[in-house]
Amino acid sequence: MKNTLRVLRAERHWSQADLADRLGVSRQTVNAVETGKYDPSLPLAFQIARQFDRLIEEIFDPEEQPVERKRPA
Amino acid sequence: MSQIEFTARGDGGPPVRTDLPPRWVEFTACGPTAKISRKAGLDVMLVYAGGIAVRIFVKVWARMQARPDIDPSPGPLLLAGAVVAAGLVALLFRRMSRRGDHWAVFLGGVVAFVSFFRFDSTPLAAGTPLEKPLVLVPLVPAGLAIWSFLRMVRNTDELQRRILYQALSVGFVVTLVATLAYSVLENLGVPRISAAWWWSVLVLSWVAGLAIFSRRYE
Repeated sequence: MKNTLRVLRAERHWSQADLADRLGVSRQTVNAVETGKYDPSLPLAFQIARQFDRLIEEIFDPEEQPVERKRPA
Repeated sequence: MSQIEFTARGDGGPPVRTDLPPRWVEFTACGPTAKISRKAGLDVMLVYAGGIAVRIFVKVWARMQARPDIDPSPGPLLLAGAVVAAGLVALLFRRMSRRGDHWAVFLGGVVAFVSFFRFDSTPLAAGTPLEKPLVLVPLVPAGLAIWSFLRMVRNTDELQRRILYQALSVGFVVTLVATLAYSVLENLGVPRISAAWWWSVLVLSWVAGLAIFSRRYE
């Protein structure tokens, strides 16, 4: 899932470790969410949104493209 | 994509390089705060030394009991030494536990267990009244290791829990297939291996699973 976490984090001059501390998760998890390799659970997504004073939809973009995804590469 | 970023410090100092890609070993620390620190490493080594000290004290004492030609008067002193060493080990565990360092407690428990317990060896202090109680002693660090491991699992976050689950699945299925396959091979004449070693297949495949699945989320 696409997200703007990296940008939001940079605006606040937070490192991944800073954000991880605020969320009570590991830096590994923040990194995985940020790079789109792991989709956070709903509670964690809400927590992230609260940290940045945004709505979940403003941070995460599901980029729904089911037709394209099914095409062979 | 480069994961290296620069974070500006408020004090106007030079930018600090942060956010290097996480390594899978970080996961084994099993939590956002617990890391294998130098302090923890030292404590674990001291626990090992303490376990060996207890073992040596008891062994020398048991040898003295078995040989009537040796003066038995330093016997109680040796036992007192064993108790003091065990007490110091207990204090080390308390220190690690107070730090909330479950990873260190886990390693310490394993190390203390190993230092006191040996596979395929005669029981410590065999033939003395202490033989049976001493068999139970290694169960204490073993129990500590189990407790701290469960604490670590409980402290993991959602991604770490997923990685742990995937790695345990790999360990489970690899061990299952390996044991079954080897039992078939044994019927074909391959030498038998003691069941005491099968845990190593489980641990190795679990660690391999941790390595593989942690990398997937980097």
